[in-house]
Order: sequence, then C-alpha cells, then structure tokens
Amino acid sequence: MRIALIDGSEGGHPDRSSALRSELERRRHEVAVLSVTADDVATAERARFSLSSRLTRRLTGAPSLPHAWDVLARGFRRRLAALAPELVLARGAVAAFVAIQPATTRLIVELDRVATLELANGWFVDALDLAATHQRETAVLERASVVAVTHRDGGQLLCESFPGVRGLATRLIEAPDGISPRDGLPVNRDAAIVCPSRLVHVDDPLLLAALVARLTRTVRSFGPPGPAYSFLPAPPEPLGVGEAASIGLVTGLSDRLSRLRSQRPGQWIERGIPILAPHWLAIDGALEPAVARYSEATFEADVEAAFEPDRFARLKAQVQRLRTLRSWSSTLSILVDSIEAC
Amino acid sequence: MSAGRGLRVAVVELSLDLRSGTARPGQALERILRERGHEVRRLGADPRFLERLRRRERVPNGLAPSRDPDLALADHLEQTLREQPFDVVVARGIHAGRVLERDLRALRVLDWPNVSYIEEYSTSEPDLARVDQLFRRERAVVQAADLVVSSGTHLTQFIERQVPIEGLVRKLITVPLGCDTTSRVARPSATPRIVYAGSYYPIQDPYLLSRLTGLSPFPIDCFGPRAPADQHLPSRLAYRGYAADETFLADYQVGLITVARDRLREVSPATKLPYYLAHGLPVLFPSWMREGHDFPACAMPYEESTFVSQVRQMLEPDRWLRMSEAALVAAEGRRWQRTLGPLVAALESRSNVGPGFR
Repeated sequence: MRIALIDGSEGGHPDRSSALRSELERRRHEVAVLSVTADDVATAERARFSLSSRLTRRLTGAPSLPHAWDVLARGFRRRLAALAPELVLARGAVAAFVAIQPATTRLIVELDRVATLELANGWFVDALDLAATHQRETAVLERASVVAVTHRDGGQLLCESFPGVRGLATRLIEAPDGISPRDGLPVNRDAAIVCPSRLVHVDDPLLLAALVARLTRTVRSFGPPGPAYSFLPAPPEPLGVGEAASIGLVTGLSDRLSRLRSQRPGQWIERGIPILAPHWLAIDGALEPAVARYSEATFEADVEAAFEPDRFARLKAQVQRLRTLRSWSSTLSILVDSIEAC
Repeated sequence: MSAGRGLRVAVVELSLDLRSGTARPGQALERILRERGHEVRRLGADPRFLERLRRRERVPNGLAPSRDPDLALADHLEQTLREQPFDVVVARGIHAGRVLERDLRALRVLDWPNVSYIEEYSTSEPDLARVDQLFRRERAVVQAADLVVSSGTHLTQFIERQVPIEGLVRKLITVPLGCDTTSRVARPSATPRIVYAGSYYPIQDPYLLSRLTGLSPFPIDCFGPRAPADQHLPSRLAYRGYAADETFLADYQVGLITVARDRLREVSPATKLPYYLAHGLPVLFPSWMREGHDFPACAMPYEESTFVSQVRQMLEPDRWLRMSEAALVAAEGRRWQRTLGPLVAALESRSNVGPGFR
C-alpha cells in the first residue's frame, strides 16, 4: 500500500514516527513522510492576519479570519496530491485535517491531544476560534476510519469531549509507545534517586522541586542539562559517568489533559531504571509492574515502600523484562493491522 | 502628609470594568477609605489599551507590538500619578503593579490577588522561559512594594512556602475577600435552583461547570460579564447574562463554585464565596479548594462523582435552613468594613496620619 505518514507538531515520543515507518516498510508498504512542523503552524497563524486575509474577510463579509488549519491545509494539499497515497496516517489533529480531502483517501489518525480543550485552556479565548477549532476537530474524528491513542484514558477523553461523533468509541484503538532501549544505567538500591535534568512543563517542575526538597535520600539529575530558571531552585548534581541509579522520579501535572502526556516513565525504562510516579499519571498498563506510585501527601512513606528490598527487586526485574519485550513492533502491531485492514 | 488631612490614595488597576468580580475589592477599598475621610482616585488602563493587550496575547510572535504593554501602562499611570501628589498608591495586580517600580514618593502597596507566574505556569502548555520572565517581573514589583496584600490565609501560607522572593514574608499581610450588605436573602423553594456567578476563564474550569450542569438534578444558571464559549463543552451552559448587582443571588437556593485543580487554585480564595454567603446561599465547592473547608456550617465539598448526592443533601429543607442561616452569620464576619480594616489601619499608620484626623 502507498501510505503517507503526516507527522504533526504536537509532540509525542520522538521515536514513534520512525518506528511506525520501519514497521510499515517491514510489512512491505511504501511510506512517504510529510511533516507539519511548529514553524508551519506558526506561519499559518501569521498568514491568518496577513493583509490579503483581512481584505478578503472584509470583502466577503466573513465573520472571522480564516482558521489556521484551513491555511495549512491549502499549503499541504498539493504536496499530498503529488504523493497520491492510498491511505494517510496522520499524527495529531492538525496533521489529520490537512489530509481530510479528498474524501476518498482512507484516513487513520493518532490523537493524544485534544486541540479544542487545549485552546480553551488559554487566556483570552476567542469564542469563534474555539468553535471553529472544535468543528474541524470533529470533522477529523468523523472522517477517520480508525483513531489511535496511546492510553485508554485518552480515548475516554475523546469520547467525552466529542459526544456527537457517531461510532467514535468503536473506532478507537490503543497503540502505546514502545521502548527504545538505550544505554542502560547500573541499578542499585543504595544508589541515588534520579530526576531529569531538562524539564518540560508537563513534568511539573514546581512539584519536582518540592518533592526533591522532601527527600532524605541522595538525588541526582540525569540527561542533557536544561536552562536555569529563577523561579526554580538549582537542579540536583548530575549523575556521574558510570554512577548507579536506584529509581527514576517522575512528576507530572494532574489536569485531565497533561496527565496523559508524560514521556518520562518510558524514558526511565529505556535506561533500565524502575519508576516512582504520581498516582494520577496515565501510564501504559503494561509498564505498571515497573512503577511504584506515590501521592503528594504520603510521598516519603511511598518512597520508602518502593525501596523495601523485595519490592525493589521486583521493580528492577520488571524493568529488565519490559526493555526487551515492549518493542515498538509489538506495541504498534494493532495499529499496523488496522491500517492493513482498511 | 499634614495633620488633620486624610490620605490621598490612588487605587490603580488594569481594568476599571465594574462588571468583573475582581473589581469588587478595589471598589470596596475606595468606599471604605472615603467613609474614613480619605481622598481616593481610581486609575486604570484605557479600554483600548486592554483590547490591544488581549490582541497581543492572541497574535503570534512577529506581529506583537514591540513595547511591553505593561511598561506602556506604567508610563501612563506614572504620568497621572505625578499630576497630583499621593500619600499611598495601591496597585491591584501585577500589570498595574509595574508602576510601583517607579519613583512615586508614596507608600507603595501591591494588592496581589494572583501569583501571575504560577497562574501562567498553570495554563495550557506554557513556555517555562516565559514563566521565568513573569517571575522576574513579579519579583521586581514585589520588591518595590512597601506592603503586599494577599487575599486569603491559605494563599498567604502558600506564598510564604512556595514563592522564592527575598523580603516578601515580612511585608505580606492577609486581607480576606469580603462582601457588601444586602437587602435580599435566599428563601427556600419547592423548585430549587443553583447559581454560578462569575467568569469562564479556564481557572474557573468551565468544563467542570458543564459536566455538573449535565449531572445536576436541579437547574444551574450562570451569570457573568461575558457569555461563555461553550460549543465544545459536554453540556451547554444556561447563561442568563450579566446583572449589575448581586441581588439576583437571592432568587436561588445554592451557590456553586467551580475551580481548576492546580497548586495555586487550591489555595486561592473565591471572590464569589462571600457574596453567596451574604445572600444566605449555602455553597457547594470543589473538595480541593481549601477555603471552602473554612465554612463547614454553610459550605459542602463535592467531587464530580458526589455532586448529585451533595446537592440533594444540601437541599433537604431542615438542612438548607440551617445552612442558609449559618451562611448569613458567616457573611457578617466577612463584611468589607471588617476585612479591609487591618489594611486601612496599616495605610494610616505607615503614612503617619496626623492627630487631627479621625
């Protein structure tokens, strides 16, 4: 099959697109990749406010400026048409919307973020923009033959957010991220707890700083260094080369959108490290045996429970098992099967 | 400041829009200061400036005006403040607070209803670099102020623990949000109704409000300065418009609060809560909102899963009557005259009000 894989700008696991492509090509499909980058989206946003756009609006009496997704779709239409795909696999709502025409091309969408809800969570929300985004996201969900999410809670959120989309629940599949094994760290119960050096918003850096301050155990940071922020304390000392780690500390925001977006649990497993994660974080169920959960109120006790010898040994064993078993090929098979069944 | 003369106070806000609940404390402060014989002038941004600020928030990078609008506002306000001498400048919020960094020769008071950098942090996918920029800006304003006002005990405790600004704790005072006296109070009804009065920013969680509207066995009516954008919500909101005063609350039986669940919102006080109490309305509040738990006799916590049962319990006739009476008693303790008293006393003492002044 000729497949166009449109990579969206909404983030997600950095290895997922290449893993999808590899898996599809392994099954002898022809895959062409297009990307809708953050720059493309920003350019489309600016183009909305261009002189020609505003003039057109005045002349036609349109109630609002063109939607950024419409501007993007116009720009991508020709490129997509040149590929003449039999099926489009789009990652994200914006990527899917640019492929919504022609109606004859089969469309499968990966959707872990709800654009409408994220727009609604900003300040100074323009009601017309919000309604227009909702309308377009609805069109994507109605058009897609299959909607893939990485966690079942994401599917539930979509169904709750778009109750008017008929048959959505029956078209949902769960295709979690795989594990891309990277150089493992030595793991030792007596070693330091590790946290990420470079933080993004969904890591909830404020919570991380507060929890690290409560730990009596040694904490080290791991990974490429991030910028220093005045509103946060300095990060812990970096883990030394060859130094062992015990557990990877994961924090995250608890709101219904952000709790679905953390990549950290998988990243610690990639390094062979068991995970300490907040109870509200949505983690792939298959990874749960490698996870010790905590709540903010009982954090210290939850940490010590994770370090009980038998418990720690089980967590460590599970991580090693998952590193080998949770391949991209295994987690994406349901999605690739769905593509082939279309 | 000479003996026998009242203070000359400038109350500076970003918006003088009286339709907003956040304008209430500024209005109340003005009224109480005037009652005590002080001279008060309220200053704010031109509505056109506010529109430019809102547009700047929506317009992508590259099209935003080159000058920081807060600095433009501070320039405008400083010019006005220099036209006549003031003894006290009370700046409400960080946007208006930028003027406190100027050389004002007055007691500089920051009324700090929202910790802006944490508010920005709590919105959808903020840029941490921008959060940091806001923090540094906020820190500069706080450090320039002589007095910093927090609007609730839980918020004060949070600020003391969480906000890393040197010197803040010693200048921080708590002035709880208050309410006005009212001529009408709620009455029992065979067809009870629930009211939500406020705005629909994400911090108030219109999604939660919508879900509750769908669940509630009794109608939930919504009032506020602007109609909510609700086409994307699971249930449409029953928006009834804007009312110039709060007496409409007396037509309802329960006051509803919704608020997003984040670190700041858990400790932030709700402007509407004292007004609900003042009208004899028992209050339903999200269980994670700490302030609600300070009123066990007239407020009940809920989660989405318990909302219906909590509403039904609250509306049992005997219980409702008890809670309504308790609400009125609680409201007495929250009259603006009482809650603003310590602030007014601090302004008078720190500005050396003369012996001839009452």
